[in-house]
Amino acid sequence: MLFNSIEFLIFLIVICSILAIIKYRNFQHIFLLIASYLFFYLSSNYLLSLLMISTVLDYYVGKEIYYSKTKKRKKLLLFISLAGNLGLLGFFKYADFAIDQFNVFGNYINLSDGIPFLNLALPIGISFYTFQTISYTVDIYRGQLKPSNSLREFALFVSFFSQLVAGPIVRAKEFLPQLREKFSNNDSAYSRLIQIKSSNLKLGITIIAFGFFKKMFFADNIAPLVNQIFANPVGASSFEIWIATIAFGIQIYGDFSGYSDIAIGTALILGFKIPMNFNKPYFALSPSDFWRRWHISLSSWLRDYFYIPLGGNRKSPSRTYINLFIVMFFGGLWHGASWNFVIWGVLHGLYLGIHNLLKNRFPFLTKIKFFQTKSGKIISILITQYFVFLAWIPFRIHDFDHLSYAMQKYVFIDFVTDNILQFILLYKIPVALMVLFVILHFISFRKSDLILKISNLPLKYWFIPLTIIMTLIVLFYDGNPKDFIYFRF
Amino acid sequence: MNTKNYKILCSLFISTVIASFSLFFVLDYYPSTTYQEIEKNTFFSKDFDINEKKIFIFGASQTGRINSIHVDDIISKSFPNYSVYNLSYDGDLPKTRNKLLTQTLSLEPEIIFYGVSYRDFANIESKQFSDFSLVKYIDIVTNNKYELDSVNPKLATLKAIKELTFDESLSSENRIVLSNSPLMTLSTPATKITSQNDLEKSVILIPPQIDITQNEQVDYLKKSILLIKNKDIPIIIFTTPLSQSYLDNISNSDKQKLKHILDEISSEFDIPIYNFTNNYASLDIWADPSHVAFNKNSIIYSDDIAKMILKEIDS
Repeated sequence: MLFNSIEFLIFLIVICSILAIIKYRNFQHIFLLIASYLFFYLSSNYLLSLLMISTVLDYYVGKEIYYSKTKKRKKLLLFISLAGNLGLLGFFKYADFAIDQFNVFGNYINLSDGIPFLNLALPIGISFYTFQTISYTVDIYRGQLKPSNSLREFALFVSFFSQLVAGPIVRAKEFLPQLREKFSNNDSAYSRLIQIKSSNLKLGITIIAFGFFKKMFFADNIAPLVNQIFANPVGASSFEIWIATIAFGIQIYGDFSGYSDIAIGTALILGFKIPMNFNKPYFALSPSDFWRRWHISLSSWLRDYFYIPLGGNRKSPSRTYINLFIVMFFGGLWHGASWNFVIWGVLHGLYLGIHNLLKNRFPFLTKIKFFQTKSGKIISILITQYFVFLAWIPFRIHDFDHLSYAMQKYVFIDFVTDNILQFILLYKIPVALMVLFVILHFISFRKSDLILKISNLPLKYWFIPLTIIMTLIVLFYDGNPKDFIYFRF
Repeated sequence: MNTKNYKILCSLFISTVIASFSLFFVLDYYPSTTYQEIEKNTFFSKDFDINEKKIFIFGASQTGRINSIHVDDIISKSFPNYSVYNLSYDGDLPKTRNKLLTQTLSLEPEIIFYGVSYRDFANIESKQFSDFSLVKYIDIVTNNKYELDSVNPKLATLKAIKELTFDESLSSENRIVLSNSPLMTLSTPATKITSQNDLEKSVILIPPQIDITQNEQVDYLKKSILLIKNKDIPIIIFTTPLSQSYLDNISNSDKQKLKHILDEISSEFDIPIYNFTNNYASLDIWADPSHVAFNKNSIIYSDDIAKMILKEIDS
């Protein structure tokens, strides 16, 4: 079930209506759990069983870790949890990729017949929910979290429909307390029921509307330009490659942050606060800043559960660079079983490493006053985004000849200007939307609480931006709801 | 729920209604395909080689999924003078086809193949040729995603912008155009094969029941056949293929009625009828329950159409 479908809207309305009727918290949780499983079943069919296996495994292992007396036993149990989760993820997501690499190597050393592919269906959301359950057991192991006392509660944390398929990756220590005690900032008294509060409803609807706007108005309508150029970029000029690369950067941001907004808004209507996943990433001043703004739930997960255990920046500078590189290598691979994503991750690993190296070796650079000025910040943003967008090329193009051509044209500009006007005229709608996106992105950067401000408008004014957004969405909808890009991960 | 929530939902409802009416307005004034547009298509004013023998294929979107380039290649190998043109378009019905017939026959086709199905004789009027009523709009939005696909608000919006800005170059990107299918473009979803599992889960628009006592579409089809026959042009009718999940939803009574209509036409006008309805029902070649995907793995449909054409030329 896609978020951008009439079925989902009906599903959400039914859920809210039934939750409003149920007056017992436990029944509300059971209903929400069943609804979440139904949502997952409609997207993934029998692969729901994997979600259940992961849930049961981590629920009991988490408890065992907490009550174990010895460090050795805790470690063993943690290992079982990691092996179970990463085993499922590895098997379903990377088995064919590993077989392919093995066969290529086997062919190289003249081994006989290759191993046949397993052709397994990729369970939707597996990359996200395995990371959620891993964080649960690791937090218990670290003594930062008490295990959940009820399988129902834990299962709801793992399967909560709004963020199940493509995040944001929620931590148990953020979510479980919300299941136990629900309250609104406006209330003095605590309420243990899931209630649809008017403040949450209005803000949730506003966030969802912006999410749909980013996905269906911007991302889906810019996509034709990207598809057209990147389907076969060979022969395209540097200008065309640049435009297509920027277009893809906007498309993937609109697509993924739009999805996150819908997930966050949906959860908020039901009274759950899910952390922000994006914070104007294209205004990042450095690669580190970019990763504080892009897919925040993943980057913070990688930091807390991978980078820091590897040693983080506590050891030598060279070890820090290696750690960054390793984390981004696997961060890239997490996105998909393909070398393209690895290249994307490796590029970001290099950016982070080089940025750290420059900061460590030439500390005076960070003290140059120019970089604190408006012009200096603009230059920092442009340099950072040049490299961020360069890395989007391998993320999008999977054919290696096409990829190398597009990257060359992006880096070594050919200054061919013959067809610029024709190109812009040919793609005037996507190009106009790109310009509009940049303007709106800038406005939301300057006024970071724009959505909150709109949500706080009196109803008679609130419905005006809402109507404009909805009208633009329906008028530019081409009749085919398109998958969210991150559904594939 | 408290009063404030109701007020919020009321505001949301008003926004939805306004947005829906804007869509209704655009679709009403700028429908995505119009009869006039097809009528004005440059194909009808094209200069053809006088030695070229033209084979025309008529029908709606189901017939539009024939790979006419592939069929033309096959026919040209055996009969170099023949060229195949697929004149199908979305939403075609015997009544609207009849309106185009004089103009089409002026191009002097050698032979005509006409693809029909249940929908052609059901009691529906193609929305593209009638007023786009609010009732139909609600029906489309709530019941049928395939119809919603064919409505394509973006296309209508671009058309509105085009007319308001006098910009002729605006068009919907990313559509497949075949040189010998001048009245049809295909969207990307039309090229993708849907799994049997997903087909079963799909929303299926089953046409209303066929009325055989007084059926306007049958009358128009007969009129068209008569007009074609009067010009000494052979016409062959074939039924377009349907998936098992679609066929499972057609009543036995409608199956009998379609058979009855076609048998009657066949005997009345002495024309051959080829039945493709069940031929690929269980194969993995479907984009949706009533449309074969335009895909190399679905080429069996085009191959069989080519065989039918070859057989008819030979005879």
